[in-house]
Amino acid sequence: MTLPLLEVKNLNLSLSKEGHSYHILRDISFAINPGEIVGLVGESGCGKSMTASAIPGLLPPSKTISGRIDFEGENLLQLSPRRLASMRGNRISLILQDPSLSLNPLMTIGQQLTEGLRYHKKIDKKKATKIGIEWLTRVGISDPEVRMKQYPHEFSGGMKQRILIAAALICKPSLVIADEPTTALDATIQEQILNLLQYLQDEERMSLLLITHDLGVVARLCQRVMVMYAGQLVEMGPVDQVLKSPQHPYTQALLQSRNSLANIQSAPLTSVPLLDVRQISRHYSLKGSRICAVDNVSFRINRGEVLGIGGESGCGKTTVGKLCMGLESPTSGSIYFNGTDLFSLLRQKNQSWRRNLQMIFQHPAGSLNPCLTIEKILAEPLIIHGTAKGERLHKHLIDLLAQVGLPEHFLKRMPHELSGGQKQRIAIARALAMEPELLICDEPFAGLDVSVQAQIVNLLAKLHARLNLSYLIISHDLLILRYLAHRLAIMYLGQMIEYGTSGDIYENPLHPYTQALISAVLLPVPELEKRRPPYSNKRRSSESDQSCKGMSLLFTMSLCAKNMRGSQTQAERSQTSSLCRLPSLRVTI
Amino acid sequence: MLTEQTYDWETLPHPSLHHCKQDLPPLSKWQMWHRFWNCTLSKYGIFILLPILLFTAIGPSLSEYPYDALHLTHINQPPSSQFWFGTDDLGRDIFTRIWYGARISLSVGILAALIDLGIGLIWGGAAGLAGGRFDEILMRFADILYSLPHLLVIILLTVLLGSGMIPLLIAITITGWVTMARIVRGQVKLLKQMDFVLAAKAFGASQSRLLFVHLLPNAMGPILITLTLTIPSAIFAETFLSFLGLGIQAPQASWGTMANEGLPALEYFPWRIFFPGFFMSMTLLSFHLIGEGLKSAFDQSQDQGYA
Amino acid sequence: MKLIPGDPFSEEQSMRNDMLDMLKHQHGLDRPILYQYFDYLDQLLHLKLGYSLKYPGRSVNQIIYDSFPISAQLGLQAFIFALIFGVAFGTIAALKSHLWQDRLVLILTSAGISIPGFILAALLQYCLAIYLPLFPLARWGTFSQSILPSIALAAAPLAFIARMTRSGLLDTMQKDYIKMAKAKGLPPHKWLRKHALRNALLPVLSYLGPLLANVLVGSFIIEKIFSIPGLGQWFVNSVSNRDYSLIMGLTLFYSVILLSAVFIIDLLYAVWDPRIRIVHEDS
Repeated sequence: MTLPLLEVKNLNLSLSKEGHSYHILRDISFAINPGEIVGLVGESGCGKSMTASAIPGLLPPSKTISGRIDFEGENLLQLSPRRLASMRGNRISLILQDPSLSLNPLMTIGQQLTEGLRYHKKIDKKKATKIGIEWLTRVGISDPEVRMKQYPHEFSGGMKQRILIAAALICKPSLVIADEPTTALDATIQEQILNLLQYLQDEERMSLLLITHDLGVVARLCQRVMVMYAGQLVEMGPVDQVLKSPQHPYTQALLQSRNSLANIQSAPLTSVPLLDVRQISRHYSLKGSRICAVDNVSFRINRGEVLGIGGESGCGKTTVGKLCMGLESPTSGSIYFNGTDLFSLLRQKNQSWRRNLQMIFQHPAGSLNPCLTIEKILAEPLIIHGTAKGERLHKHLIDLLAQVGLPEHFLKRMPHELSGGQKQRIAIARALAMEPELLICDEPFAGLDVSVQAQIVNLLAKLHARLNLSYLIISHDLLILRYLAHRLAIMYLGQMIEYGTSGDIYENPLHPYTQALISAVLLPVPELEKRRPPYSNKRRSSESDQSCKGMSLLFTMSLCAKNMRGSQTQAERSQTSSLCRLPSLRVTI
Repeated sequence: MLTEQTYDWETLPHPSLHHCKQDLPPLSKWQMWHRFWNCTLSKYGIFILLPILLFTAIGPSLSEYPYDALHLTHINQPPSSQFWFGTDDLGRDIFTRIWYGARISLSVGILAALIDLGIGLIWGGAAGLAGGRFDEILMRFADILYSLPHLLVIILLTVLLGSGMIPLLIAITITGWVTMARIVRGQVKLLKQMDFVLAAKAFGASQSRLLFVHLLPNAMGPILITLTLTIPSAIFAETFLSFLGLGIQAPQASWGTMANEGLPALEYFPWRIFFPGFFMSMTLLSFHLIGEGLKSAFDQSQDQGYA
Repeated sequence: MKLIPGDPFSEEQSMRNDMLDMLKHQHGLDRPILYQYFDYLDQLLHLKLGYSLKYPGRSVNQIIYDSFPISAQLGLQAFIFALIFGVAFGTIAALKSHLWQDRLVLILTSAGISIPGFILAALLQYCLAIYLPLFPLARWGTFSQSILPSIALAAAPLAFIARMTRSGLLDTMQKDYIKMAKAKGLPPHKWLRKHALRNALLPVLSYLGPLLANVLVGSFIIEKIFSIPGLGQWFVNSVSNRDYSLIMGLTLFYSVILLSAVFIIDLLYAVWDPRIRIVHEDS
């Protein structure tokens, strides 16, 4: 029986802040064997990041810690700071969540890649640079010699994370701790990074502690998984076992919130278009070059219907939402709301039409004025339109709160006292105050915990059934859109590349990008995920012409790199051949 | 087909102990007051400032000598029971003159800061709200004005405009408002993009409602801090000028003129420069400390300053 | 005034605006032309021997030539002193945050910011030169004579730099890339120097431009108090004497120095922060 590489015994961590003491980790015990991938799953604030920081000894000094952390035989908690520092980067490595923040913007990536190596192994600059270049090639960065001298802002998010992975592995540690390594990345990039991690782990035979909130990621990569809740490990075991037959109610609930979301009822048969968007475009000119945020987009939402707009960051879906709301004006095209041109409505003196069109925004915290009480926030639309006053107003507000499942005393609270999910409910309540017909939701689930997302999804489904609302839901989370939307539109770089019923798109995606998006969705079902094709490091030229044959009847493949206008980032500009994200080719970006 | 979540999430206590960093909204009013009072620094600041303000108000009446009365038989006396802070070379009671000077220096400081606030609010607010070319033009002008060496301009202006209160005020405020305008503009621009402002627009809120209910209350923090820190720099400018012989003239007693008169006598009658210097420093210090306290009160991070 | 030609104005665009503003102030748009003529005559009466009316008149040049090196030395000494000790104190305060070292730095910097330079100068004179005759009282020439004025001049900038360094460093140390540097196992002296300070000092760098200006201007009074024959003294006297052409000449000179300093600092900033070079339009 092999000895475990890392063994944590009875780890307790508490923090004192402003007079109170918080118990962050309670009695954590687990072990990681050599060459194993272990997942640590939990929602925000459960303590998983603290555990990750505690192992290499990177906690801020105000925390008190007790227990044992045995690594390769030594108790890390007893080691001197110098000895501990000599292990970091060398035997234990860390990969953090946001690649944009993990790199020093003032130093070249070559310096940052090799500094650990040069310090620990006492290697000179030239040799270290050579090793660095080798690693850059291994993680799939092209032109590594040139890239070594570049600065972090010249790379895209996915590339930065690759560099950070290379930096973590360059000293060949035995344990790598990855703290939410793909959370900040787009779905397709996430897939590539996870593949890369698996490939490297396989080659180097190191142990990987993968911390995430996403059970799908766990199903994809991990052999064992641990579930954490409120500072305690509530369940532990092989991935198949935990995901297929979870024991602890929290694990069961977590799985439920991804596996079975409330399904939207089927759309009514009326085809009275509530919102009619015709060939809308929005261009920006930025210092000479033109950026097309939205390019010739058309769709319709009928009464009682839910339309989802999916796509990754930067595809223009938020701009579409703002255009539909009248918060921005299009460069060309028109939008008809309830038969009337939206922009003539905007110019009207009487703005009471706004009651029928409301919006929920992405960040719940930012959408509530922090200076006002909830009562004033909810009352605002009613005050502006002068519909209710005094006692009736108060009653109406209580009703609103009840509709979103919140008790009356919330009226007196301030936004900062609420959790993310509660804030989002208030935002929904506020939007419902005027009894709108159409509700535009811009990424309402982003930034919320999985369980909270499930609550909001259910709430929206319930409200749709009860109030016969129509929704325009903008989200990058295709899984949620599948349940919540009747029809789905997928956007990419400002263009709408696929449009159909959500069932159709899911089962039979036509466009290669849609296919890539859907295959990037990770479900917490281990057999499905582990059967994916392995990572291939070989770069192939973009075979976009070949694979586009026989595709998409509705849209021509105007997305090929040659026709792509206004690439968004400098990194993409320099890698024009790889803009086509085809899953089977694993072209690097 | 499930239409409702079977597991009741509301009964489980939410695992988060503190908010995720990105989620942090601006602090509420209650939280800010709490922090302000907790900050020991600002308490010192207030403890120092209050007595000074008190004496400024009642000081001259406490003493039996008017500020310009000459006692030629008692020139250059050290502090004594008769003349609490001593006398200067014309036999005038320094105690009275100190508090008389306090009135001048403080009123100049506060007035100048308020003028700066007024101009800054209008200028910065307009620039921030309007955006685009208008914003650029306004801020370019402000930048040019700002790039002139502050004290040099003040000196030149007082040379041109002559001495006295009004020219002094003009000279001090003419470049001072730029900082306030920049802060206001920055805040307005920042807040304009926030979702709650967009939401209010989406409800059809009028421009004035946006400004007074949404933008300004949330911008008060940095504005207040800047105001608190403008006062000492205005006071400093006034004393500096008076020290140079511009600004306030004798026999008016401002701390600056008193320091100017006291300097040549440093070796033998040090109290003549000590008292104005001391009170000047204490006043400036108290404003800075209060400003520091305000900064930690409005500080957006969860980390406290010098609590 | 009408003798001031349009040519000696330097090439820089902002200089021209600056000059324009000053000219406006100097000429006074509300003053009738006759009054300006009067000023011209006024100068003749008030000017001391050897001054010329015109700029660049030789005498004004001579004045600058003689006195500027002294002011420059004083200013530079104070500047370097403030920079080195300011960064050092700020760093210590940040590393030992909330401990006694931090509080001590806080008290010292509060004093530095609050006590006006000329009061501090007088205080230093009294305590260290009169009461305890440790240092020479005034005048200029030897190094020991330069110590007190340099300290008086450096106090406020030192305080500002220390505060900025402290807050900049505290902010920077929260960042993820510092955590990563530590996670690579780098020892404190390495990550502090290469990662933390490099980023934390960016705001200090942009402060250095205006600082240089303030140091040069603030030396006026220090020079007066310590009887140092520098440029500042000339400026103060010319102001008291209402010697307009000298004032103008000196102001012009100071502005040129200031703008050069700011320009150099800007260049330095671009070298320090690579993002500026490429994204220069997006600020």
